[in-house]
Amino acid sequence: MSSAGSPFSSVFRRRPWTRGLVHVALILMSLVFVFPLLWMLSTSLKSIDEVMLVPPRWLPQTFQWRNYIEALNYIPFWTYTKNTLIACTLAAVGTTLSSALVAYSFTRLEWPGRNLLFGLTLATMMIPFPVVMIPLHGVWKALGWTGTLRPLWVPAAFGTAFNIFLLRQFFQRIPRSLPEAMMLDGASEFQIFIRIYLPLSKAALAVVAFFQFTYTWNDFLAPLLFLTDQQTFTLPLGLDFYRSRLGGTQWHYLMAASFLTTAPLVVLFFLLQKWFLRGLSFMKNVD
Amino acid sequence: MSTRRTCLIICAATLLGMGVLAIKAAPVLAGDEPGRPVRVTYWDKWGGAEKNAMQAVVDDFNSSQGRIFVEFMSISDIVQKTLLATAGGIPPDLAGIWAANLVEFADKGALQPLDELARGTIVNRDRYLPVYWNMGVYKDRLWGVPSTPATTGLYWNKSLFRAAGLDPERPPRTIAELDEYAQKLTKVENGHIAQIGFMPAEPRWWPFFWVNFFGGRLWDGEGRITLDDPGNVRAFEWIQSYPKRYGVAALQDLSSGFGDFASPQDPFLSGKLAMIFQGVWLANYIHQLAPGLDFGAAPFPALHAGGPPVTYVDSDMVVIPRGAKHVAEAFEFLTFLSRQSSLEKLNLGQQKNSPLREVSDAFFANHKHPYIHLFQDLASSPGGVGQPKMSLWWEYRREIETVFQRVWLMQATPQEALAHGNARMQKAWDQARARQGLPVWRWLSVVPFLLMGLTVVGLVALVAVRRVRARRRIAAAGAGGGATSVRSNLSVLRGLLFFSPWGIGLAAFLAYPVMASLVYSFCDYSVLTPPRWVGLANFVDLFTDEVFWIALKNTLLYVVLALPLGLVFSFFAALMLDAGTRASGIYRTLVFLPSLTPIVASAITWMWIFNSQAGVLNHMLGKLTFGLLGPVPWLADPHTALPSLVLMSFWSVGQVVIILLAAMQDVPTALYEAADLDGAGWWRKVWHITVPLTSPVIFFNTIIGIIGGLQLFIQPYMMTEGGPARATLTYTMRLYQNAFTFLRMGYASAMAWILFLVILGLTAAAIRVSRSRVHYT
Repeated sequence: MSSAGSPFSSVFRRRPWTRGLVHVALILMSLVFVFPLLWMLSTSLKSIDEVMLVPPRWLPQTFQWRNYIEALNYIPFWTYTKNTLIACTLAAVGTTLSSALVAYSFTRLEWPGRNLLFGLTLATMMIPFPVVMIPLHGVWKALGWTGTLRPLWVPAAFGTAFNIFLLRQFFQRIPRSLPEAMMLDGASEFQIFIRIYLPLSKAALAVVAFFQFTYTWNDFLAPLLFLTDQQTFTLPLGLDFYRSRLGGTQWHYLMAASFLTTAPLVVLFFLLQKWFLRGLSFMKNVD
Repeated sequence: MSTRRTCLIICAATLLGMGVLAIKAAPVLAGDEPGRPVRVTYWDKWGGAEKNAMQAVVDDFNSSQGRIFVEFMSISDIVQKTLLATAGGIPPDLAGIWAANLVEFADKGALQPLDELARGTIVNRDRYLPVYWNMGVYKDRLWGVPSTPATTGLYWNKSLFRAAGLDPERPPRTIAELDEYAQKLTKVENGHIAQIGFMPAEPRWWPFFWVNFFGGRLWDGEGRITLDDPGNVRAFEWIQSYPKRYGVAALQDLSSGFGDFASPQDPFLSGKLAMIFQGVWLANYIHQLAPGLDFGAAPFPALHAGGPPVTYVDSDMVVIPRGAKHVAEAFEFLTFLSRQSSLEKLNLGQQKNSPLREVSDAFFANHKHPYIHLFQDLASSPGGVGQPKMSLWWEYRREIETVFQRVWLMQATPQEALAHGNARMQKAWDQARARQGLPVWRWLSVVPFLLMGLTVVGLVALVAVRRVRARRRIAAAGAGGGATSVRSNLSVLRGLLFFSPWGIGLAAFLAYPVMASLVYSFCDYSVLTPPRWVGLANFVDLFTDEVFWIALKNTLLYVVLALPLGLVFSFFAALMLDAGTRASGIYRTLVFLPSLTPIVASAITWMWIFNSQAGVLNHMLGKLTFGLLGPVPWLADPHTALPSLVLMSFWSVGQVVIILLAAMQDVPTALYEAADLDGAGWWRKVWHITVPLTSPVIFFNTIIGIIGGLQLFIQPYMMTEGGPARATLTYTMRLYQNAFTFLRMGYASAMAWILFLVILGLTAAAIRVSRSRVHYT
């Protein structure tokens, strides 16, 4: 992160105090962005009387850790976490593998209809979920999958247009000549895919898996429509259930539950951060 | 050859693995094994003490015999979930819906008729009070059995009466007297209403019922909607007299401080509201949450002195959804529930009245409600009025809610709002009835597959034509290339194999649904019955439906505000991060974190931040402007609700910032240095170097933003329910309502396709603009 390559570098050189100005702006911006999360955390640790205080108090007087126990017990939180993890993991693993295979077919392999199908794949990104949600309901019924977790991850596990697109962008940067030695040894395309393309694209694969994981974690409309049994609810649906059950006044519990729903993604992000930022750098080459 | 085989094997293995996972990952549905009791699933809506009361009855039933085990589950959003599960072919065996939904459920074919099962059992009309029994009867058939009924009356706070110098033992007897008392019981402190005597907007559950006190009626019992009836106009004029007297803003300010029902912050329980029109159950909540409250209850005042008391009657109904697997066993439980002992136990537990004609002395003796005799008597009085038994009632009710909001917010006069709602409902109802007679065409279900087949044929033909042309061109180019093929590394089979996972997904989860929804958009379709072809009727209806236009306008407004502002903001944020300071990494992470927050969680958080009384945003605004800026109603006011959602959207731009930042860091330093030599200022460098070089990313995010923004759903669904007065009713939310609340799938499919076309159009426009503006390196 050098300052050399920015439109501001010459300004910074001539008037060093402007650098401080940018710093202040960045600090302010970060504060504004983090504040709602901190407020969520602070509210989650207050008693209900303290929550309703006007004017509000920034920090709880005594930390009510009990709120979290209450929140965990009010809904089958662990069951919902388990359901969400199952759906997210299967969707992430499935989509990463499938999308990589497909992206490979769109990059290295040459076959008639390839470009047409790639164009079609890109075009499917424009299909809004509402177009497919009603017939999908019928599809799940025909398959006997209504009320199970499968509608949440199976479609993603067959690949998604966005992920295929991202991986294709990445694969295109791998020189075509790279696997020549392997080809001379008679390696199959699949071996090249496994031994060269996948290892070289770890960062991109991590980004795709992470995107899918968070997407499925966040997904609300599909669980709302396709899950009917409370035992198979996912966390966001459980959280909504919480809200409608408790009413708008039990803010401390709601915030505790919101925090618990957010935290795993944040942890996952920090674990993957290195990969993630490296992988993201290829997203800018979108053409 | 070996390559091909490996590929085949690997791909087959992948697919097989996925299939196995698909089967394994789902919870195995417990089948019925011989010798074990039959498991009957029963869904109902209650939580807390109300749930426990039903659980006790279920436990009694389960221990009374060994053949049937009823599994009782408390389900939120019971109506929707039951409909969805029934449409999905896996309904519960028993469901507790509201009387208001029963007719619509029966009309849509979602219920099992109970007449045959009930013959000769104790489930018969002679034992039940007629008002409740009749709620389960529609078109001369029995569809549901009342479980926990209710009547309503006026509750008043005796302490507040005393404080206002009123006789605490004498409730108002006429509506004029009610208004007079309300005036005396209202306290205004430094410009804010601290306490109000009465409010027709509290509770918000029955805005349709007030007309019954004014001799109004909602329909003629056959085919005509009578929302513009003079009695209704009188009722809504009375409703509007409240905001007229106290001011719209003052009432908004007051009610934003009201807590939810069933919480100690409920306005009546907390003493902010002196009189309320409420159900028999209220005493139970007073007992639990505000035990010290000194209250009275009486029939709601009549329009004229001495007039007969009018009471709103309602009931929870237990039904057997169509397609339930254990109908006979489920009904056996209903028979058990129908016993006087069971119903009295249940309604004692929930502190409601009994739906039966015969009530035991023990029921009254054990009931905690000091006025239970009053409410039980109201149930058998001639003044009990329930909800209209018409199949579009759920929708009609929503229409009346909108009329109420418009009148309450003084957006329209009662005559205007009622006439408007009347015309809309009459049209909707005429249409619904006309469509019921249309024939069902079975072959419609094949059409999506035909369309898919045609698409595949078209694609193959296109590819073939292109290849032939390419070959000809090579041949024409002459001897140069000789016999080399068009492409080197060519294998259709291999390509398709690698493509196959997505190919299957594309066909099953995109192509089929897209084609099917195209077909549905020309049909009348409720999922529960096969589609009926209606031609272009859905589209014609949509274009003449003002709510469609409101939803479209709201959504476009949201995109037009949120997307450009969000992008400009993201761009400058990325620019500052790119300027490079030692702590950039930390700032970057902090800006990114909110975009990781699940929308459901951020919606809840922001609802709390936006809260106009205890919300932190108003507090900070007040501090920063030294109190100049009064509390903003944010989500509570039709003018600020949509902008509030836009404001909230800026919070989650982190992902866009990060992507833009990555693109900016790729801009060659040499370009800036060259510009420095020319003496260009920072703005010129940004405008002439950074913007053009990052334009593909900006363009990409614009497209993604358009597609995402047009589908805005969770925020309005959770935070505002599309209100107030439809100000945040977004396109997808309206679509969802049409599809899964009103079960008008054909209509919703037409909406979905229009959305698709709008997205296509906007994307095409964006691409057109990008031709001249986006620079690819």
